[in-house]
Amino acid sequence: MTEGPIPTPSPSEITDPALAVTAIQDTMEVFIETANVNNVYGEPILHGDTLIIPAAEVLAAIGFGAGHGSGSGSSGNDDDDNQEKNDEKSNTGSGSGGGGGGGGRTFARPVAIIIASPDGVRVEPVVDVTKIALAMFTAAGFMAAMVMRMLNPKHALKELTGK
Amino acid sequence: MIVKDETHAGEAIAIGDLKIIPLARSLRIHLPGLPGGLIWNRPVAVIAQTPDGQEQVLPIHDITRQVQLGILGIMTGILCIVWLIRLNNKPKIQKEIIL
Repeated sequence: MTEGPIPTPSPSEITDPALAVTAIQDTMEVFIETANVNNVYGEPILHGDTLIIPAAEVLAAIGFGAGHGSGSGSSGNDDDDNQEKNDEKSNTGSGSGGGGGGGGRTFARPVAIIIASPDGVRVEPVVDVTKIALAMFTAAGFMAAMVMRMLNPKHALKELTGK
Repeated sequence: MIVKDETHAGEAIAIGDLKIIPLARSLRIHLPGLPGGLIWNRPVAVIAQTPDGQEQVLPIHDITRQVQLGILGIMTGILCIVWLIRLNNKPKIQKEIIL
């Protein structure tokens, strides 16, 4: 149960396109590992006769992108008359380049604790009071804004007359 | 879009004569042709097995999420009721204004 960016090799480590593909594959493997049960349930903690297993919700998102391009064309300065006279030889060039990038993140949030003792097994939920309070305040604020809007005489008249 | 919803069972954890099997549900969303995606993995339940073969399934409820969704539901419900009341009263008030 970890939280933070998905581990990827640093750009300085990737100098070869084949290495970049390997890095992407490795990162994808790490990402797919997120769906494993072991990422949801933490290491069991033995305390006397009691075994405690933490359980968390894990959310992971990742994305990659890559691009490649090439082109050719004449080079040189057309305004320079001397150069036009002197350069009778071919003055064309071509080039290509590519690049890629990606990013990802994992989030983990405790959900419950499983307590196993000689008396039996029970599940104790983890309640995030801060999140609940934030949701309540957001809802209350939204409701207050809606009521204020409805009670505003200008807005009510505008809505009724359609002007 | 590829969406996979799977339930996995973890390795059994033994404590005394009791065996605990954790269950997790994962939702995978992946867009074909695009490397990457989204994985949402959450605990579902634990199965407690006794030596005499009895099994007890203990569901894991996400109370925080349930309360958050409840607040959202109540808020949406209140807003819908207020909107319906206003919609119902609008023609009456418009008539009164005209008269």
